[in-house]
Amino acid sequence: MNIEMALITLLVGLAQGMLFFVIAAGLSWVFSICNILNLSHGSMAMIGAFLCWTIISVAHSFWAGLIVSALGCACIGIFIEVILLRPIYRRDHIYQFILTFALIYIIQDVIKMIYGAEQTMIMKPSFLMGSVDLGGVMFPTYYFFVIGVGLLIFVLIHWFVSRTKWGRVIRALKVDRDMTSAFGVDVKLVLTGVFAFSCFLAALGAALISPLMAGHIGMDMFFLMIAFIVIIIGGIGSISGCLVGSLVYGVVNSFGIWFFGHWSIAIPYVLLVIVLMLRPCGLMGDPITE
Amino acid sequence: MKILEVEKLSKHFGGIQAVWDVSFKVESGEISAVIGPNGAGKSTLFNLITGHLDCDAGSVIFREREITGLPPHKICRLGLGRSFQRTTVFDRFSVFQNVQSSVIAGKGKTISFFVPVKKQFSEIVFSQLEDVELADKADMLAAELSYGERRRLELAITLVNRPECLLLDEPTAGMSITETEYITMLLKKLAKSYSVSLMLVEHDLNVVFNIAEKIRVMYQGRLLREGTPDEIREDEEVKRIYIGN
Amino acid sequence: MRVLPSGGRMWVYVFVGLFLVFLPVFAGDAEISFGIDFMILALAAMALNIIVGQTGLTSFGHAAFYGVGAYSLILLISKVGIPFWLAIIISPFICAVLGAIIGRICLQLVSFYFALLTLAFAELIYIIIHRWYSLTGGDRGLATERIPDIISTPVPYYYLTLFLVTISIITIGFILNSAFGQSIQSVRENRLRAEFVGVNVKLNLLIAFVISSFFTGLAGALYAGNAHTAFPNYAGFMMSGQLLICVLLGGMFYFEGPIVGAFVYVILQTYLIPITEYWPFVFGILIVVIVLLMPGGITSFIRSKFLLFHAKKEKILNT
Repeated sequence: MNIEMALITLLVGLAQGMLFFVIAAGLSWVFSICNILNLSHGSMAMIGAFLCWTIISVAHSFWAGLIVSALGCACIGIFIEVILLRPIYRRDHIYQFILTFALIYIIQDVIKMIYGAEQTMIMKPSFLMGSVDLGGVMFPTYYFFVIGVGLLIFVLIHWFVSRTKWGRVIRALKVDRDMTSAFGVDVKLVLTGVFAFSCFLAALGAALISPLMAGHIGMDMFFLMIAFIVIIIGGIGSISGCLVGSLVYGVVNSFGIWFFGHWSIAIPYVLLVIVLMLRPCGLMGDPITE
Repeated sequence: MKILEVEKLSKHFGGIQAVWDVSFKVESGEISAVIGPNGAGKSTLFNLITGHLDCDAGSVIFREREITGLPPHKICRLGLGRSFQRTTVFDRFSVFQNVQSSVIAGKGKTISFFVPVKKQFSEIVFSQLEDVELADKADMLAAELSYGERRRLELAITLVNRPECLLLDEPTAGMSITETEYITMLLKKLAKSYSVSLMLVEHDLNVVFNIAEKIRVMYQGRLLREGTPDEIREDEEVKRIYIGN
Repeated sequence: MRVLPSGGRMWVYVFVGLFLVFLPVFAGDAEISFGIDFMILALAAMALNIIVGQTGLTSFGHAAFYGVGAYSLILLISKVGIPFWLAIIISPFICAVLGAIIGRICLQLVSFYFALLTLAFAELIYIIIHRWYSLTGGDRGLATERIPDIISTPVPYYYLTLFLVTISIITIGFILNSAFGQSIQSVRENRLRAEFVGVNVKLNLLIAFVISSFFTGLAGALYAGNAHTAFPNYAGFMMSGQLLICVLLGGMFYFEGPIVGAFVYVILQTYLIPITEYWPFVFGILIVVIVLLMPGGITSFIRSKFLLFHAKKEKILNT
């Protein structure tokens, strides 16, 4: 591996990491604020990817595809949260696991019903195709775009959480749900909002990743596993941790494929095991209390 | 004999020093209380003694044997029991099963696979239930009991193995006056008949002055004073931290 | 929470037992095959419920033991040359050892983190099986022709399965009804209190995990013995999910819950798949309905109806 390859691998890793951040960020909040292990998160992302393809086929606009699919998923998320998840919030965790697991089945088949078993491929918008020449090395422009979008989203979220009233409410909910509701906050509404937001981001991330990866039925598990790993490494409840975790994972994975080839698919799980064994609260997450 | 000796125990959380350099000795059969304003570190102290938390420094010696750093279940089996601020019992077990679980674990007989558990140690369990006046409720689920009855159940669970020393974290919290009197009387009676040393964390000073032979006052993580109820009652420093400047 | 059957429920067991014993007499190959699949799944679900129902922890990793059990059997027979009868006994022990290792690591954590870690292990084992082509044949699966002829037909294998599954379930019953069983239930009820009455929580949970993995491995080995092949998808997250669904469907609070769940699952699988290619969709909806409306599973539902009926009967008789 020479410098040029290494740099490109690094860029790919960062870009992929950034995309994983967008997909996973919402899940981190759903975990720590709604207290739900949402196994259907990957499925939501998959919906986003497919929806984006449909919209682009119809409207021929990449941007419309991004926005509409993200919003569409957010709406689906609202529906799921209100109808299916609200009744089981206070129950044993196993029920949440199983219910969201069932959603995986349902969503997978719905996608199959609508789109068949084909793969869908999206083209990058024309002004983002091509490469940028930096110091003699050609870097695909799209990767820079993706990194930019990810950073923008991170900054927006950070601003929201630290500067706005609703951000404070979210931070309060993380600490004590009952107390927050005693202060007159409509907790149910906020939880729905958080869940919808996580679906929005998941779909957005998946839509952004589509030009790099064909939409296919196994996407849901792929995204789900990566989202888990990323938020565990970064620490649950911390968006900054999620960013760090995603980038770390993206880069490690990118270089890992070089060195481990055929076995590189095990990297996420090995990382997950190592992190959970050594430091389960991740790099920047909330400490674990029983 | 000194049943429990605590030497220079210290623990901090983040930037806060919860317990700092606490040392005292408890005599066998002594009934004592630990008092102090909220945040004084009383519950943390209990957690350190019973192995629920690791201490930063210091040691705990029980029956002349060092128990610092041992896991809670081992400490419990050595004869040091504990009750909690929030009543901690097995909710979906019957009253009988609750106490029975304690007996089985206390005797180290949990790793037994093929003998049905239903009737094991019945006499011991019933005898204990009678002492706390819960024998008639033996088949009820713990979750169905009243608050005071659950407290009594927790007492039964902790006392059935006749520990040499029992730490009680706010045993009368949330109780009415009659219930409080009843529990206090029950504690005094059982402490005598079982020869248990009791150490209570209590906020209800009536209970404290009623039951305790020795009082230790904690304030901001330190052991401020140690003495008989009369000495503590007269102490200027103690009055000040309770009533304020 | 009454674990073992007594009185009326005992008769149900006897009836079902007799039915199973005599099934091959009046049924065809298809039904016998159904019976074998059902019994194996019932064993695997019962084994899983040792952890889920009794300790309150959700394990997404049990398929790892199922898969390893299956592959152990085939590997022992085809590559090591051990006869089937010995291999079927050794395989569960291999899974028990694996269970000890994985359990030791996973049981340091609780709830979400435990579930995630077990999931990671399940997927890791799947990947190892899938990618270690030289050992396992990867996607093609691993087959053997050295299963003794005597059990290569449905009926004898049915009785072998019936025998092994019955002894296993009875053993599990004894274990759950013992002091050990009560001790792990006490951990589920109140882990803190269990520690503070003197239960060595970590050790007891580990033992439960090992027992659970042992019997799950036996189920996997039995399945591979029947199919003469082991495939990578015997391990993996989706298989784990299948086992959890059986437990939930039947109800995790009663001893026979997982058995009922396995039965319903196999029925649905057998009769649903031919009808529609979208059977996961139907399954998913069914599970959602159960979680929202019948969280105790079918056994709790039946029991509450039964109690209601009894209460009404009493009322009528007493007026």
